[in-house]
Amino acid sequence: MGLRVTAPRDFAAGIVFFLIGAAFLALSLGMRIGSARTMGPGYLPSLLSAGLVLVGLGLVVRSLQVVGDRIEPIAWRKLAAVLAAICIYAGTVHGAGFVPAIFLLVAVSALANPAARPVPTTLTGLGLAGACWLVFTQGLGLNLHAFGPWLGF
Amino acid sequence: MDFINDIALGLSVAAQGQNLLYCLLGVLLGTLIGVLPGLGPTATIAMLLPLTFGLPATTALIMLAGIFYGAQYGGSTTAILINVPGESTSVVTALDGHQMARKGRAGVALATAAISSFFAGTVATLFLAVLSPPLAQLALSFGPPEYFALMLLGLVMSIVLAAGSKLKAVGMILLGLLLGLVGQDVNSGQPRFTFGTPDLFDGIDFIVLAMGFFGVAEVVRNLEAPEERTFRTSSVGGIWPSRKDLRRMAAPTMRGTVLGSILGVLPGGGVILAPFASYALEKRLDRSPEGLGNGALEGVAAPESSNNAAAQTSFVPMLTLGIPANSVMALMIGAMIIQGIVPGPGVVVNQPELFWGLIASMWVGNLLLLVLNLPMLGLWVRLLTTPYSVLFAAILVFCAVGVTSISYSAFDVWLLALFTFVGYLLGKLDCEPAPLLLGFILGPLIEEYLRRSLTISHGEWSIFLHRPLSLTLLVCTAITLVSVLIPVIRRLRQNTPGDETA
Repeated sequence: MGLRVTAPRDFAAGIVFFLIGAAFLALSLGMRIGSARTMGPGYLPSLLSAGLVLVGLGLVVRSLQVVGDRIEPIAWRKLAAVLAAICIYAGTVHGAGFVPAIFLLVAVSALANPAARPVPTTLTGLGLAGACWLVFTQGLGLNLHAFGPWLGF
Repeated sequence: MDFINDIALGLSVAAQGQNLLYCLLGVLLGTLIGVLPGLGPTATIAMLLPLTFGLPATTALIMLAGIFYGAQYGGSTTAILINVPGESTSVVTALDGHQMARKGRAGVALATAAISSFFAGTVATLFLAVLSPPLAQLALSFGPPEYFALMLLGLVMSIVLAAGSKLKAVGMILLGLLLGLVGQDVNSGQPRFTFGTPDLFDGIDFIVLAMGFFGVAEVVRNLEAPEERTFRTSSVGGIWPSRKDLRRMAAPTMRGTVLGSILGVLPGGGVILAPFASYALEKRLDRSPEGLGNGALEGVAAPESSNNAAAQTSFVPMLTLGIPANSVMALMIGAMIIQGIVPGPGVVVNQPELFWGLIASMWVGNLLLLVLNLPMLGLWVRLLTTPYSVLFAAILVFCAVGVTSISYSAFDVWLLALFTFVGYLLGKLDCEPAPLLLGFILGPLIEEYLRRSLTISHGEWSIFLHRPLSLTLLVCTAITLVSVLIPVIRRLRQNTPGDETA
């Protein structure tokens, strides 16, 4: 039995769990562990992250033994567009206010959707920003600037 | 006569103007979002939760419960009309429901779903009302070791019920537990995994986590596959089932209700199991003219009733023990904590208005669904024809604004982006988000109960074995765990590459 990855999804999941577990473990071991009787803040986290590391290893081992599906292609461009849109919203919601931030969110996220066209996207953005403005400032009283200090409000 | 008094109290709470209004609003909003393809009840509740922050606790929970069964009903509508199940629970409904729709009986299929769900909801609510108080009484005698053992059982059960790889479900639970421990340690006051940011001192907000993993990550996934809409507005057909249809519906609905009510109570997510189990049962008893799978009414009535019954009874462990049976209940517990309620047996005993009001309003909500949805069918159908680019933008906006409204911090929005990223990637690797959410909610509770147990016992782990109730629970946990792991081990030993394509 050669060492060949025959279940790529298991392998990748194993690596992800292993790395996350190892990072948590390193951080947990930096905290006081204590004993079973008086548990320190690091007691349970170090047990759990050690468990996660083991699960990760288990998946890697299994990926060499069983045959599994390929990893479907990851839509990096769409993912990036959505994440960028959320991050731009996060960066502008306080400065520019939530109405422009929502418009930007819609505009940038449209890059993730090949079917989106400029004019309908603009209209959708304006419509949603307007709807949120109505619902949140007039109705629910959200404590956020509709238009923020960057725009001179 | 206590029972009658309690029910009367509940109905009087449920009938208060404000509660009735929010129950209606919840049911409507839940259906509205649930109808949208690709969004299940968990995502719907996570998205709409911020709307309830300003409400009194009872009203907020009534509205959330309304959103829950509204979303479930909406999911069945989508499953029947366009064969896109919103969540795993409506997968089964899509089998026969969509076949019925193709034969021009979509209206009858939807009515069957509504009627059998209402019947199941009514029975299961009664079941919940009868079962909860004694269970809560029992739970009052639970000490920390029993709670710890019970939560362990819940987590292990969620591994059993996870679709796909069990080992990955274990990994997701552990990751969830760890994420749940982020923030200040209650006992020592030491911040954990916060990287020095004060934003993480209070821990990660569960709404952000749920929206990232269930809401936005799902939206990105939907963008990849332009969905097929094999649906024409003209094909809904008549709504009203004939007398013969009603007769055919009766027995499967009854069986589904009983099965669902029982499965729903199981910790760890019996709700997922319920529609599959009842469909399997119907398949065995099948005497329908078409045959199950070819658009038989029975194939809609059974899974829908058992699904709805299980959804109602899954409130039992949540309300009496404070332990979530599935990701929706995990969100409900989060909502209770936000409202300042300590989930657990204390709720039944100390806050009867809340408990009985919630139960009574569940029945009211089911009634509203039945009364409202059939006439409003046209609206839901039209909603399904909304272009996806608009839906997609609206969902993103709702998630982003919802997250901002939790604490007005941009940091939570950054976290949303992070969880979306992780959730999307893990989804590609067949790692389900539901066990993660369960672990996340249970993380701090498990640590607290473990700590207390071991403090009582002066560090002796054997305390869990010396108490009969916790021993029983642990034995159940062990049996469950072994039954899951044995096939895995056997497969590892026997299989060499090429043997299996699973």
